[in-house]
Amino acid sequence: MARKNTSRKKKSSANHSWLSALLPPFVVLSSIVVVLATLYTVYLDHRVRSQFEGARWSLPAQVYARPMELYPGLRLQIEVLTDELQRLGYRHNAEVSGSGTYAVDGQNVTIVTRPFRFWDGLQTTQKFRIEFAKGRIKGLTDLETGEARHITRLDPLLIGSIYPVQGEDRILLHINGVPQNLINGLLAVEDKNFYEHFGVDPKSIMRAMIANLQAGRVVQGGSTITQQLVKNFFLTREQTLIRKVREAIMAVLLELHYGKGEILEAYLNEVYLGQDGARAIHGFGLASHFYFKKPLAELKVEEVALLISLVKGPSYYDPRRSAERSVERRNLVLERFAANGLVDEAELSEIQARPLTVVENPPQGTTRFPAFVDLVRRQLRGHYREADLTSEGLRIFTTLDPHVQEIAERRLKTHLGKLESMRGLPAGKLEAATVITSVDGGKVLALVGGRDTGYAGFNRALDARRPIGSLVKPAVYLTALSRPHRYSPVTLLNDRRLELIQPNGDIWAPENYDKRFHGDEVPLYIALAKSYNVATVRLGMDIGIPSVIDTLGKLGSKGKPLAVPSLALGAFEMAPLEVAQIYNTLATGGYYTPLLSIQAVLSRDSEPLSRYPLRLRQTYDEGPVYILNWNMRQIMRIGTARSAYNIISRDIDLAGKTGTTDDLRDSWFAGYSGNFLSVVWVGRDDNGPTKLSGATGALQIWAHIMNDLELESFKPNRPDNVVMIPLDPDEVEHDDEDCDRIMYFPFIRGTVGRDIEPCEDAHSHRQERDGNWFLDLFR
Amino acid sequence: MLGNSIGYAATGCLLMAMGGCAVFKGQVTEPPSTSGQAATGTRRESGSEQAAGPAAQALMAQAASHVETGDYQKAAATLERALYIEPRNPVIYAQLADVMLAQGLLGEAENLARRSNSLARNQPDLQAKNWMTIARAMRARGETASAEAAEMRARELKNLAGE
Repeated sequence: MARKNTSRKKKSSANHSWLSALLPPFVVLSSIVVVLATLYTVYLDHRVRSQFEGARWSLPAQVYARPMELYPGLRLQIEVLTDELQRLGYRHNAEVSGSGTYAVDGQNVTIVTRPFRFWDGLQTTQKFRIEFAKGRIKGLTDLETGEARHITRLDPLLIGSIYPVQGEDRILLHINGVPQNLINGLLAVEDKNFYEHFGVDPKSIMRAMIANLQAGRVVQGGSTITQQLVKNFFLTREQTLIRKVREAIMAVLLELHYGKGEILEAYLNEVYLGQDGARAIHGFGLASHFYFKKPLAELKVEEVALLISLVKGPSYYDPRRSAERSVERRNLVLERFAANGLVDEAELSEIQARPLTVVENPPQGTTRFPAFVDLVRRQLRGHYREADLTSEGLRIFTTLDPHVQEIAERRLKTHLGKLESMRGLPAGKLEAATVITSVDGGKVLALVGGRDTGYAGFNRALDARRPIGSLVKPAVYLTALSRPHRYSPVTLLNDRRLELIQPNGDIWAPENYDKRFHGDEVPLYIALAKSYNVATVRLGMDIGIPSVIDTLGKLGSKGKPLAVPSLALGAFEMAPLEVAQIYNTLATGGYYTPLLSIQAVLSRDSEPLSRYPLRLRQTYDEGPVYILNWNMRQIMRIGTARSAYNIISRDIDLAGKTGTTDDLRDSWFAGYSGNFLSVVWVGRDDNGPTKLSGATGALQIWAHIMNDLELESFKPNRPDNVVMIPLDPDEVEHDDEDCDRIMYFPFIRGTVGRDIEPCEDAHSHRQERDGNWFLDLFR
Repeated sequence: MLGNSIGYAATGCLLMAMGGCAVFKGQVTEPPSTSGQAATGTRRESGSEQAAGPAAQALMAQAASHVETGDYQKAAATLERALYIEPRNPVIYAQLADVMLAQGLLGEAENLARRSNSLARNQPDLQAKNWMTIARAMRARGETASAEAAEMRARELKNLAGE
């Protein structure tokens, strides 16, 4: 009986043993696979999350120029205003419509500004009309209220981004700020079921597979927006199957962690939409700027469609490279718009017929003025870590005046070329730099680092340290004038040949520019006006070179030059910005104001982080500075810089100094009006001779730049301790006073020497006498 | 001739005894210059006609209201905006000095007050106020003697203003 059972049992156990032999390894294997898969998933999860979080924070700092302030009484040409509006990308219409538009009607300009969050608060859209008359703003009317306004300002120009290391760039969009038709259109075209799927859309994949099989090639993609976002994080050329699987997993993981809104927002900021040389264009905000030079909110529906059409292939559908293909694709997108009710069927063909409105030349990087932004970066570096600067999305408000900057760039380029051809120099040999600041307030308005202004190369304005030559002389003469009992403008100096024995035994015999000597009775003011070297060296040695160095320090110089006689001829180096600092202290009458390029820094959400307040400090007595400035006006009128008045109107009082170095290697000019100060350097990078003096080179560029600006005369207040004494300038070195000509010379009160006989002022019977008149009675 | 000289001498003695410079103060007009024509485009910066234009005034009023709400940073930023429009207006500098005072930034306040004085012409009220600001800063630094001298100047100017 048992035998029967056994055989049956034997049969089934034979089956079971086959399975049970396989089972343990199978279980082990599958457990291993599961564990590995889990680990891998965890790894992918970590990767995609850190990318997502990283993308949210790696926003470069946005750098803004100063906003244009508008108020009745302002001297402003109507073209300067419209230039600024064009720069800002405002649209010029026959009539104003929405924000960012303007209209011109004769001498009236109507503007609707864009809302903007300034460092002192939000300025909502302003709608106003400006009336111009005789080169000024005559009236400013708020068109909402109909009332006259005292002052308003435009939104500032975005001049740059301080990039993260990867060289990427963003204009951050918040999901709430994105036009609805962009979102709806994007989803309609790229991911209809966005809000329903879980990261991957199986239906869409199936549909795509079928369509591709039918067509025999890839005609449709089944990726969701989420998958595309993941793809954009790890943008690589090949799209292998393994990659696609990984992306799918990560997409699902993303959706587990983040909401639809967050994912969509990240996508809108991440999606790759174009290339500008080395710079990748990511995100719709930046793309709008890059293709249309306006913010997203101002795009028309066909422009929105164009941006969406780029998602599938920014190079392939580049409107600048293949306009036809671009229009075709755009119109396809517009059809999808219509199919989803985003565009009226009736209007569709009209809209599709509209031409491409893409701006031909993409805005030059978002850093338009790299030399200036370089200065901004350096001035921030002390306060912010580089990483914070480039990854926190800070909003930086600067002092740059785009109008002044463009004048400086234009004039510099034009005149360098002219100078080269005039002197027979090969084209491209000369280089130059300029710094322009306000006189009061020490604000850097413009900075040019070289003739190739779009290129962020060697920044000569900040880093080209060159001997300053005669630019040092005002410091020498100022030091002398601060000892008014010994030196006044009419003190006679010795310009006879001088030989100095140096420590090593060599003889140094300085020469004048004209290779002549001018005797031993040169009035001080003439020696400075005509920049006599020999007289200046003697003067420097008389007063002591260390005291000249001290003066330079008080004017704001940070250097520590050697205290040798050649210092009086500027045989030490400075960069143009440092020169500007020194001359700025002179221009303010002895008030040292550190030059700043930044007004304020705000966080990404516009919370104030730091303000760069006006700081000034009197470091030199006003009296001597006033007298020196008087002398510097003589340099312009009768001295080495008088050719400036071939270009600028003689009605404008200016002060300045030419600077030329050995063998004419460096050509300098530093000078100012009542409101603008400018330093120009011209030279060669290889330090070869330029055949240009300060007057024939830098001064010419300086004068052309200044002449393009709305200049105010340099007319400082006369301090209480300065008196103006009428003297005959032709007789200053002699004793007889013919008083054929009369010129007023400044003196510190109480220091007019006994040997000085003031002329009778022919225009008034009252003679201004100095305190010494009392003593004169007893001579 | 001699009589005139003695007359001058006597007056001179008297005035000098009173503090010297007074006789030379006051009506000093810019003598005609032979070095060029009168410049255009300049704002005459003499005396009490130095009222701020409406744009600067509007900003100064804004700044004042910021001060009232205790927002000193905004007040200072607004005043700097006013200085962009009228860079040499001593009243704006004085108002900015006040904001610095309110923030306890005495050194800054003093510098701005001095700047205001250097730009002021025949504005004794303003100058007196500035000297009081300077005196405060000096006291805070323990420079008592200088502070007292500054306060005296302020009083003198106030008397001058009262005349």
